[in-house]
Amino acid sequence: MSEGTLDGATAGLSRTTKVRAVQAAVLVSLVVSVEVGPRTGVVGRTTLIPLSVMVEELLGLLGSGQLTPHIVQTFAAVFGAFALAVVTGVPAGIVLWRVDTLKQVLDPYLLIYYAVPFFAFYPLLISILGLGIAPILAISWGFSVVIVVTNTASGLAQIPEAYTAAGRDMNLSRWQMLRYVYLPASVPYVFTGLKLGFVYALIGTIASEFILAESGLGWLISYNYNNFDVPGMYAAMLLVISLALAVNTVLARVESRLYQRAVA
Amino acid sequence: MLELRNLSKTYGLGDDRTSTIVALDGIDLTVEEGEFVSIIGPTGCGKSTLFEVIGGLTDATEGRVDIDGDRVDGPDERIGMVFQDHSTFPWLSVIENVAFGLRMNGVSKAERRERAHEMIDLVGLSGFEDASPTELSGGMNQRVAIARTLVMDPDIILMDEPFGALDEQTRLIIGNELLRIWRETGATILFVTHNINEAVQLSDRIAVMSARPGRFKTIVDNDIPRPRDDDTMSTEAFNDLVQRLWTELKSESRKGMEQQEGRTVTAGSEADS
Ligand SMILES: Nc1ncnc2c1ncn2[C@@H]1O[C@H](COP(=O)(O)OP(=O)(O)O)[C@@H](O)[C@H]1O
Ligand SMILES: [Mg+2]
Repeated sequence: MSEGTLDGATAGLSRTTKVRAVQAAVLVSLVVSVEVGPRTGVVGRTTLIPLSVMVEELLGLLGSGQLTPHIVQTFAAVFGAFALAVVTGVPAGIVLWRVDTLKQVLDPYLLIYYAVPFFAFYPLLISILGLGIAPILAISWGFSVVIVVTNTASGLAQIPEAYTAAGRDMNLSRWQMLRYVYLPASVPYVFTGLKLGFVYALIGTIASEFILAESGLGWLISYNYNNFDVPGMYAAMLLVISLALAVNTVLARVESRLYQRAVA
Repeated sequence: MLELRNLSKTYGLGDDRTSTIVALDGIDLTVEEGEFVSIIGPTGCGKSTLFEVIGGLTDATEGRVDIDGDRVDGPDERIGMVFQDHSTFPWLSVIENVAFGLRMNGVSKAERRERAHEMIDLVGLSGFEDASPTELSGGMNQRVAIARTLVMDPDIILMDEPFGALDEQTRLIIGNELLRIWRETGATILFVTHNINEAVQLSDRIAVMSARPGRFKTIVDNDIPRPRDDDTMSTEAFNDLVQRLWTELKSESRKGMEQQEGRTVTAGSEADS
């Protein structure tokens, strides 16, 4: 086959390698400066502590079991809110994509949704839902669900007409069309929404815990900050960041499994 | 035998369907079994609409489509379509793409594999079974799309500018391959193209469509003997036919362009009201 595909592929490959190298370099320099900065005194120890100290502190706290109740509370809120956002947001996105008038009506509201200062409603939610996990779940869900809805709806709308035409030509039933064409074709878009949705749920939970809670990782970060426990604060932050990265990685894995995209 | 009788298609525009656009107006054509017919015409004259109607993807406003005297209404297993755009599914491998229609129709796994392999062989993609379409060039993707259609064993294949996005060289190579596949399968092919050379290289007959509303302005027999190789393309007969088709097309293309410009203006005023 004299179509010159292979040349393009190799050129692409060497470029990805270069990009990867730069990405790795950025990560390494970040890690090194967090480690070396505080050690050399470029940054004050009350502001930042070396990464290795954070890790040590975190492992110590994890080992002692002191973190366990906070982890349980925060994870329950984050994963609970995210799960709720997925089971409500994805179907809502499908409906929005299907029902044109509904989309037209809701579009302006969805557009300004994230301009609303969400956490300002926290006192109101507490008076309705009481203290505890309920208002945190509500805020995190509310913060997360709309990004899932909009990404699902716009993702489904972006599916190339050629895919659906091919499906119709092969005489697929409505169900087959949804299951074997629309759903897999929308995976990359929907997963963009899911990844963002998780981060938003996490932000919603941590920020709510900052404001008003008696436990949880967000509360712990703010408590440690107020009590000048810098290592304790960074240990909790490190845990939150690790959680965000771990879930993102898992979601990306699931996505590529589902989409079977070129595994180079 | 494929028969198109007085096919017309009118689209309603806007939410209330008050304004309409006549895409097809009284199309008549009879295509013999195993024939290769190309359709050329200005952009927007209704070529894709014609194929959608024949393929049963959209209903005609008037007229009918018959295959061997048997009416086509709705997607029909006797007809397979190949589209211009990347219509191969990027979430499936090459062989899964080719076997897709069989899978949807409940064909057993063993038989699917066998038939898909056969078609992949036929389009010259052996060795790429497990590749992802995202790794393949445009030309190879179109081979996958052709194999995916062929595997359903259609009597009639409708190809809507299938090589429109390919460069000239790839187009020539894959055009020759298509002729080989056509010979080997004995299928009837209807082929839309913008490329007059390609139409002359490939077809038995070439239908020239008028600017919207789409009608057949003329249908030209192509008597240039087969097989047509690269040398054929420099013969006088070849160039005469190209010239003749170009003359037929030119005035329609101009009309088509004026329409397109006119339509932008109308669309603007509609939006204002
Ligand atoms: N679904 C549709 N709704 C309304 N108008 C359409 C639709 N599809 C095509 N048209 C119009 O019908 C005419 C013919 O379109 P098409 O068949 O795509 O032309 P071609 O394939 O020859 O370029 C064009 O003016 C186009 O804008
Ligand atoms: Mg077209």
